[in-house]
Amino acid sequence: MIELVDVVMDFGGHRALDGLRLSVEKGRVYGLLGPNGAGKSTTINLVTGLLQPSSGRISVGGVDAVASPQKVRELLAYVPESVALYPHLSGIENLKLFSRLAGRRLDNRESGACLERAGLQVEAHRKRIQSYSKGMRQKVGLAIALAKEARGLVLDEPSSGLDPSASHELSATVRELASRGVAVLMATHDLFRARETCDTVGLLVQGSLRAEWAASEVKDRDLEAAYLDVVSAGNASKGAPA
Amino acid sequence: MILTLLVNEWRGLLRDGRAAMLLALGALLAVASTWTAASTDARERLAQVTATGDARDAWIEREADNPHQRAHFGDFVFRPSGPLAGLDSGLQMVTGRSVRLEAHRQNDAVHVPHKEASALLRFDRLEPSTVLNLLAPLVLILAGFGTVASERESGRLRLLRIQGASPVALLLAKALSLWSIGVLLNLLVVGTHLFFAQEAAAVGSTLAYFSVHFLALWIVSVLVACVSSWCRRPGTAAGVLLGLWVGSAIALPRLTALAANAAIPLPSRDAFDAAMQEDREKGLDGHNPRDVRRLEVEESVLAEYGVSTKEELPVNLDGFLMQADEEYGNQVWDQHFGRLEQLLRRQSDLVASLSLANPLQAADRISMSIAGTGLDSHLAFLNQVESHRRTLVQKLNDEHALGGSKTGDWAWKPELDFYGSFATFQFEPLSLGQALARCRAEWGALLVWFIGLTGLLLYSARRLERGGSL
Repeated sequence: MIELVDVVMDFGGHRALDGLRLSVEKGRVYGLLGPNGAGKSTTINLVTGLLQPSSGRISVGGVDAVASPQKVRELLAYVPESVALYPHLSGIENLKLFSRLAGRRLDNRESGACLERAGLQVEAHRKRIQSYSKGMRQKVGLAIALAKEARGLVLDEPSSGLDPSASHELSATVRELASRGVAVLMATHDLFRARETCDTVGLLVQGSLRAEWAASEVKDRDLEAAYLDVVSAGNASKGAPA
Repeated sequence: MILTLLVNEWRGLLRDGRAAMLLALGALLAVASTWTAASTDARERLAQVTATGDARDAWIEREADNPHQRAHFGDFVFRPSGPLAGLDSGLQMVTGRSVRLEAHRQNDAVHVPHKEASALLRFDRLEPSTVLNLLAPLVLILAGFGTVASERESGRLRLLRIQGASPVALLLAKALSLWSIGVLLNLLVVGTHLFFAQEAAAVGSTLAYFSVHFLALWIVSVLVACVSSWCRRPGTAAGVLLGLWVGSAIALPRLTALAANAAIPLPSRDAFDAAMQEDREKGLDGHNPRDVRRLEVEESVLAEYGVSTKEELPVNLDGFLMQADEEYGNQVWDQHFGRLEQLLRRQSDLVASLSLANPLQAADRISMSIAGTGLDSHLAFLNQVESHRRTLVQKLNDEHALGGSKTGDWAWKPELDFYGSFATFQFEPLSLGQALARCRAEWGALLVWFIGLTGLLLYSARRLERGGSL
């Protein structure tokens, strides 16, 4: 469903991605791990068509992200690290607005159901966003993604700043979406959440995918130790201190 | 999609306390300035009607006197305000609106509001055109500097894009929402003016006035949206836009005026008067019997009536001499004032060309022209006044020459009803078509800005599409 083949991304003289290859099948959750500056957000921006690669091929549902970024975006939903909504609107109004931009008109009942499914309490639905906590805003962001009913879901550090309970709810919702056939690409720093949620975990270091483990394999290993091993080796190979 | 985004922008403006206050302040200024301008206009009209009546009464009720005495007593004419002058007083603040007519000399227009204003009045009065041309763009800048930049800074732009909002639709909605503020202020100004105006304006002129600000404020709105889309931070956009506002509202108009004065200098009033005086003195002076041209006129009149001395003439030679002097003086005036008028028009043309760099200045000049308060209108008034003065003086000289008196009879008086037969001055303002035609360069400038900014909007949208959303 989501496929990147030999993707290179240069920003001026800096190579952010260096021949990245990965694919996320329908109904699978792929966790992209990596330290700061590894290229996770660049990968997300490329998949969503907000950036164009220097070379390589990116496709979503068979649609070329370079040639048809708008079509690709129609196939994807997105939840950023910090969901920015309109502070002058309530949760339900934000959901309706962003859904309408995606071509879906939701009535109050459908909007309420979406927000509830994302874990937002009913009494918060009609309050202005400016009174929301970060976790509540993330839930509205997730509701926007759910309402889009997209074939692919892209999450960029979605659990950052969430309390354990909210993170757990998020994982559950992501797994539920995957069980309905949605392909999920999730960039995260959260090793525990990645092990909890993903089917496959890839480790991105300095723009290259250095390791990839299947979920079952991940669960049998000490992920943190593996992560540190690979990151240290990656840095050493580039001449940086381990 | 544009409508969805536009409705959201409106909702944001209404629900955001600062934007709502800004809107309310703009609306208050628009209504207050138009209402005070209409009141001032009404007061001035009343004063002018009274003064016109007084001048007419003084002319008719004055004891019958010699036509030449009457020519020096003179008459007063007044320039009436056009129906839209309350919206834009234009050059009327500095040009004066009444002229004393008399023989031998062309007087300046007097009653200049700027000269008569209280010394305590540090700033110009706030008038509707100032609100629309200077303050409304500032309101749009303050309301919209962060319209795209804050979307980017917060990360909302990325979500909007992924949800399907096209950059063109987004920028258009942003520009349209800002423009709607401008249109509201424009409607408030024109509506308040129509409500309080003393004289109903022609529909065409009112529409033209509305349209020029309609177009100028669209240009400002698109510029604000584009600059905001180019800047990564709202503060940067605010700095750039406020800089542009200071440049176009304050610096450029003064610089263009300085440039026009430097390129095409005008003679000072003293130099103009001295040159006029010198040329008149070289010519025929009706009061000077030794003047060569006086002799020529005298010989010509004597020959015409077939007599050898002026005492034998059945008419009054003094009237012929004074009219000949008047006509020579008219030639001198035509030459000097013609040159001055040409310089003024060249200056005006230069400023019109320079307004290509400044849409606010172009709009300001069109606005003045439509309101009938621009340079062309003032020159039309001066030329009509001079034409009226010439008719008046000629009629008095003709009566002096042919009315029944003899040469040297300065005590002769015509019948009293002779003075009642003089027509009052009727100013014929420029038509809307003439006013618009004289602003072709300014309309061209606005059109160029409109096309250029449409291009910039599309380019900015493309830039957002290619990574500028991040």
